[in-house]
Amino acid sequence: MIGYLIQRLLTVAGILVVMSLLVFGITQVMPGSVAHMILGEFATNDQIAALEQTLGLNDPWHVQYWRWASGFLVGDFGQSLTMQRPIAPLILDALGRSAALAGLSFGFVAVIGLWLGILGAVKAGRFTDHALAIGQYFFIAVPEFFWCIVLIMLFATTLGWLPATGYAPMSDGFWRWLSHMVLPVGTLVTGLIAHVSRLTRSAMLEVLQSTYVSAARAKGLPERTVLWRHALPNALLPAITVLAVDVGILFGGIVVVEVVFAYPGLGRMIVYAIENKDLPLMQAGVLIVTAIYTMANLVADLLYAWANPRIRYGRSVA
Amino acid sequence: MSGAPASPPTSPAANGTANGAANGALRRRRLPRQLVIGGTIVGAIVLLAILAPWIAPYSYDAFDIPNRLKGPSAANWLGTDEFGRDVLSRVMVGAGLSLSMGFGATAISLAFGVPLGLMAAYFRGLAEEAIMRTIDVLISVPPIMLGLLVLAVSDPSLWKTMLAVGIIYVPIMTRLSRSVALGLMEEEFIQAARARGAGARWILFHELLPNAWPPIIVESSLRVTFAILLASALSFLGLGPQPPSSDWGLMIAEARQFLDDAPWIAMGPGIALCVLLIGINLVGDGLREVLDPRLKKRGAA
Amino acid sequence: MSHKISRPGFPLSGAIGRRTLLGGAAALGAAATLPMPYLSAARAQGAGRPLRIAVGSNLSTLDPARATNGEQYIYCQLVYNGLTKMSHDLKVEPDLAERWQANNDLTSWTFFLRRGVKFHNGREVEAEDVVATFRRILDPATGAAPRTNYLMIKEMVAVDKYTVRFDLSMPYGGFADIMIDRQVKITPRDQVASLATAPIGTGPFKFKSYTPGDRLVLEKNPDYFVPGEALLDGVELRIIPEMTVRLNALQAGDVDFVWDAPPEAVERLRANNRLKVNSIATASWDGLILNNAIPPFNDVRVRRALHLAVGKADIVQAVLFGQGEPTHSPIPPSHPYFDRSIPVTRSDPAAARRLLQQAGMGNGVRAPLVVPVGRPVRERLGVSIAQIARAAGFNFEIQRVPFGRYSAEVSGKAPAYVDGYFARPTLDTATYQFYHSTGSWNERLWHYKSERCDRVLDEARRTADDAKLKDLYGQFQRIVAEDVPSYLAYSVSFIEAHTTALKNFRSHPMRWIELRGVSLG
Repeated sequence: MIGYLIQRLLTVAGILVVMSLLVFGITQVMPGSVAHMILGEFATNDQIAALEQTLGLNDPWHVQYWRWASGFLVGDFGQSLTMQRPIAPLILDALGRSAALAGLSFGFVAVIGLWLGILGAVKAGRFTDHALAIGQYFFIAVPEFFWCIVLIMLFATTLGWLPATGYAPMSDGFWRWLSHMVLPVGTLVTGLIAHVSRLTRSAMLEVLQSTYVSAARAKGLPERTVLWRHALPNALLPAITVLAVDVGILFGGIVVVEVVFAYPGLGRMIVYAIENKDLPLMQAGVLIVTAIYTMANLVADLLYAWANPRIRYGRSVA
Repeated sequence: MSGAPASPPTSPAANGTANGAANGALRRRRLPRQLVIGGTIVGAIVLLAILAPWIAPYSYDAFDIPNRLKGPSAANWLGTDEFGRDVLSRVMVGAGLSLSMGFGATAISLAFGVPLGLMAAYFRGLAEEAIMRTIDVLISVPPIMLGLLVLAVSDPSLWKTMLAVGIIYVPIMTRLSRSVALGLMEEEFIQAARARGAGARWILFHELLPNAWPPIIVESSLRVTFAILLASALSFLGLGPQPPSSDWGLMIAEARQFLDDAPWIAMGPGIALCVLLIGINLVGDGLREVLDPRLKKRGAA
Repeated sequence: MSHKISRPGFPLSGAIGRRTLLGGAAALGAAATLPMPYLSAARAQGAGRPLRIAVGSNLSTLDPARATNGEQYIYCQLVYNGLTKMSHDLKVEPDLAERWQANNDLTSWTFFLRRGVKFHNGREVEAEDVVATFRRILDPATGAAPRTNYLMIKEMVAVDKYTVRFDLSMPYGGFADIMIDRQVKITPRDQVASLATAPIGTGPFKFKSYTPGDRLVLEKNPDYFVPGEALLDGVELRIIPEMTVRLNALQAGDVDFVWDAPPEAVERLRANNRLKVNSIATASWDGLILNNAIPPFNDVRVRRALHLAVGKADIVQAVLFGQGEPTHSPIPPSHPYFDRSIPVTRSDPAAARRLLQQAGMGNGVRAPLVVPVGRPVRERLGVSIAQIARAAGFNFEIQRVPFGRYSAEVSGKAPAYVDGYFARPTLDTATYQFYHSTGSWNERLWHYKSERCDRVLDEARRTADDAKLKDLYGQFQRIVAEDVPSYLAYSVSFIEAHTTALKNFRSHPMRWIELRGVSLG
């Protein structure tokens, strides 16, 4: 296990290095001049050249890369070009808010998704199961960007129960904060809950029909014990991998939800950086998201390996 | 939208039993019910998309300012948008865009992913390492981020979105086809082919590929859903087809302005998108029941 | 610039007289310091919540000199003061300068600062701060957008602690007028480094905190130099990119004020009796910028054909739902100098086609058309032009580009793109830099060169007589309508919606938000 852990950690480190090169490379080939972006409308060619010199944009790419990457390692992410302020606190703030959104959503997805999945499996073929299945098909198919608009219309405009905009800091009071979280979280979780519950149901069904569950039943164990003690732990395995994968889906959703709900998180900051070609901000944002995503996959891998000792090498979670 | 895999590569086996196992009667029939319903939905939409130029009541981009923002009526079944354009006609024409993005992107991911996966499984060693580690890197970027980055370096257009989404799903196809092929490599017929000295290309394309395709097809059908979702999300963020095109993601994005006064502009493409995705999902599940080898085995048992 | 505009080029005596007549009160500056009658009332309603204003875009920098979008202009107006300010009816009034005077040939301007005005950090505003501010504006490295308007400044001298003299390289009668501009706000000379992060101004509100992408929080400046003008306890600019969400937030009471509401929402918002909707004519214009230096729009016949193909009357209907008026140049229809003899046409594809044929483009014109992402009205303008022009053989291919990338990638480079400009302080600043062959905006936008036009604009700068000016700017409009350097579509009506609890508020035609003397009931 230790050896496997070290090997996986090394892979993660390698991925991050390659990713940093990739992100850096993309910023190098992006059209338009950074210096021009900074100087604005009336920049003359001389001014642009001078600023490029000051910013070190004329240095060979590996010098620029090293300057950037070495700063990154010690937590110096550089200066945002458009906002003229250090990036690290900007990103950390935004990350914290995105994490609140993601954490809350992930919690709901894990608990409700698993529960509905088990419910579906236990009631397989009955009305509850069919109702759930229809709901799953529907919610998987509703794109977040459409769904959040529908929710805003319903809960904010028509019913007036919840605020239409996405964020109030904790300092405004817990309930205010929470009321601002409901719609974004609600948008994020529906599709994922449908997704997780559907896969949990399948896994659970398979386990319920396996020989050892039959054996447990044959021994006369109560159905409840069979379900919770024998079936569930085995069904959780695929569910865990699905949840890890969902971190990636969640992030995709977060970008859209943050944009629509004006939620000042990392996703929106990255979109802002790309739109305004704030390269240092973009580089830092993308790299941090990648690191988190890779870590989530690593954790899922480790959980999987821990739960299933047969799989140690040659597979990682997609 | 979303991006990431619907299921981990190992899962066709794990979750494939879904409805089949639950309902024995259903399995005995020739075609699963999901496949029939889903196939009908998708088929109808494909047909509409193909016939749209002839049967759409209006041109998708013709203005009719005096009749703008009008609700559904006999003349405009799904109402009109802010320029007086007929929403129904736009949805019909847009179907082709969404479909071609979904299927095009999936085709791209298949075209790159499957050969890579098969080669990794066949050659093993250094080639496998090289392929799989590259895949590791690609897969460690959240899909939407990769899409945003690809589109950040170039001006948006339909085929670039398609390409971006396709590339995003290459790793998943590679991993899936590799794991399928790894299993097949142990089978006798491959061993036999090797023993008779068949070339690598022959084994890859005449022995491995034909036998690996069922799980790949199942996965692809799910991929189409996610490709459409991701592409429309990118369109929604302004990185897909450009106006006045009636791509559904773009239509919904543009309709946001008028949600309070004319919700039907968003509802038309929004509901169409949901129906299409439900249809494709149903087809995917149906295909899985028909094609999944483990299901067949259990059915026989 | 707008309805009433201070005319550049008045001889001094006339200028002061005229200005005073227009209500500028150059000599009466001190009057403004009298306590306002509603001071006590405001105290009574006591400490409460801040005014929450919903805006669409992030404020990238907080440095006023580098401000480039409407959201930043709002902030500049609330946190800072200029030497002069512009009233709601577009008169130039004293602000940090309590009075000013020019020499006889208008080449030397002296501003006398109000005494005892303190920056938010407690230090008194001095003449050196003014000099330092303008030195920054003039430094190309700062990247101040209106820099070229001040290039005539030859020398700046802090005569004493409260007196600044500007020596100009040419006579310029509108010098005090352009001091109202958005970016030329007086900043403390010793705090320049922290302007982007911890800005300090003199305005009625002071900076409290800024969360990029979320909100800018300002609090009342209790020591504001005009007692009784800073009444609100604070102001929050909430950044909400989605227009729908912005309007819903207003209707749900999550914000008090929506700045720059879309024209199509006016009717619905007016139906809500808890809201007040203001729609006022402004000199802001939107249009399709055509590059006169490269094909296909370097041929005046092609540009004329486009104007024939796309009637402005049709465009105003399609794009603005009637909330605006067709225009021919940056001089808006609401201005007394606007030339009503120039016809506003409807689309005539046949005539446009004939003209294209003459230009040897009978097979049609193919060109990309760039529209800004996140500016729905301007995007609609692009889509409408492309669609209507198609009947005449123009095949525009629309490309959406984020507005933040315009300056580096689009302006001056693309053959055709949709953009718009906020009202300028004076007629001269609205036209000269845009249409004179040496004008800074001209070089960035359409590269238009016409000796006739240069002559008229140069002469207008030197002219004081009202009738003669009207004639000159009339000539200018006819020249522009003939040469059509670009497709200036319309003057936009500026729409704001706010809760009825807001007292004493009036929309400002310069499209910033004036909150001095405004309270929340």
